Amino acid sequence: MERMKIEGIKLSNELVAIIFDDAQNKKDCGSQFCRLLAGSRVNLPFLSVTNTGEDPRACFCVALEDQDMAKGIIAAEPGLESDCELISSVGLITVFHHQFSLGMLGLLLNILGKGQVPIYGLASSLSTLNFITDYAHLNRAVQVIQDYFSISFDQIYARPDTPAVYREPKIKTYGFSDVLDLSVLELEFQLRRLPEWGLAIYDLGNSGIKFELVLAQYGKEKYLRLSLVFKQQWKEILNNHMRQAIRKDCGEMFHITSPAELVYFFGPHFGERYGIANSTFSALTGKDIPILLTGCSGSVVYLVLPEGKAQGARTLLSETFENPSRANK
Amino acid sequence: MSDKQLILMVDDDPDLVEAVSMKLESENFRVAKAYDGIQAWEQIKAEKPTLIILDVMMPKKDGYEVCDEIKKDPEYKDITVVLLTAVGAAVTSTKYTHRGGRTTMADEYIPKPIDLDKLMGIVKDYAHWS
Repeated sequence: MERMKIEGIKLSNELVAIIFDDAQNKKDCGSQFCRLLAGSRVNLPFLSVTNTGEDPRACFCVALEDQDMAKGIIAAEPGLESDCELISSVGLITVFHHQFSLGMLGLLLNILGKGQVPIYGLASSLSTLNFITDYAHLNRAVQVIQDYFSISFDQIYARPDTPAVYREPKIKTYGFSDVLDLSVLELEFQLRRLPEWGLAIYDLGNSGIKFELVLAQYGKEKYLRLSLVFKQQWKEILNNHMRQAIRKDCGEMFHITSPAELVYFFGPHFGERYGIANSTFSALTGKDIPILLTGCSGSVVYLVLPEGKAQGARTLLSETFENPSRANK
Repeated sequence: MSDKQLILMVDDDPDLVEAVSMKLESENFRVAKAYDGIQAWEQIKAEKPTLIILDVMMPKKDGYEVCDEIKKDPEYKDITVVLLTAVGAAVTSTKYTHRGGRTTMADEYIPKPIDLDKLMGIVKDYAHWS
């Protein structure tokens, strides 16, 4: 069987993962922590947040050298410490181009699971799938991927150069986009079941279904929460597929939220500069724009919103972020 | 062989490569992609594109070097090169600013973040002339 082709793999420097789970129903813990990090000029190369149900969950990554700063922020802020787990020495493995393929996503989950590569977080961008795993496992993850995908050694980019770090009064972007008529699948399963769920998602890819966004966060008792955003027309197929695949005896559960809308935007060096996520949340806080999911990875910021909120969100975000098309008019 | 003109998009940001590629394909161009300067040269030799959109800050070989090599090579010097230079106003501590871009032999310079519609206009203009 012909191997799926990928165009590249990037590996990050050593990072620290910070996971907020349930946070005693503190639905603003994600934005609160972003604000505090931005105030200390700490960059977030990765952010994955779900707020659809009663137990919000957030997975952040900061650079290893920012670990003490992050710990200090958590310790100083009432309510953050109790539902927070710090995972030291993690890394980000970035695979591109995903082509929005559930087949590729499922195969990656399957082989990483079988290869005993844990996943603490996952977020997609326009082109990339970004997995958080143990830093010591990065090379093994690359080896596993090379065994199953078509990629040559010179397409692997290890440990980036010094990142660009700067702040703008109005943050420049490449522009805003939105996608309407969506559904959100949230699935919870134990990390040890990653190979089986990877296969189930891979099978979904054979139905022609594409994803718009995928996020995941690790949580209590080694459960992974996976969120898939897809066009609403596929809702019935996914629902039936999930009903057949779910193992309630293993404590697995899923639900589908529908309808939903997606707003995304990206800009130069978004993954390297502090304050991008904080500026996003600040623009929408208190403006009746509930955010169901947030993903920041690669160069892209994704927001999943209830139906009817995308246009309003774009208008508000345009006050903080510069849209080049509008700027040139 | 396709009649569509081939554009090579080179940037170490896969998201930007994808966004530009989608735009180019919607405008009826064929697109080749590269994520570093070495890959860019492999694509140039294999595909000989009409035009290259070339980032300057890249691993292995930067865009300035690639541009210079293209313009000094008799076989490839007629390929149009559009350089994507760094965010000019904000970045002061690197040689990759828009101001620095003007010392090369590139045909066009666009500072990041690029207006994708403007980029399409430039590409279509050059593609029409060639």
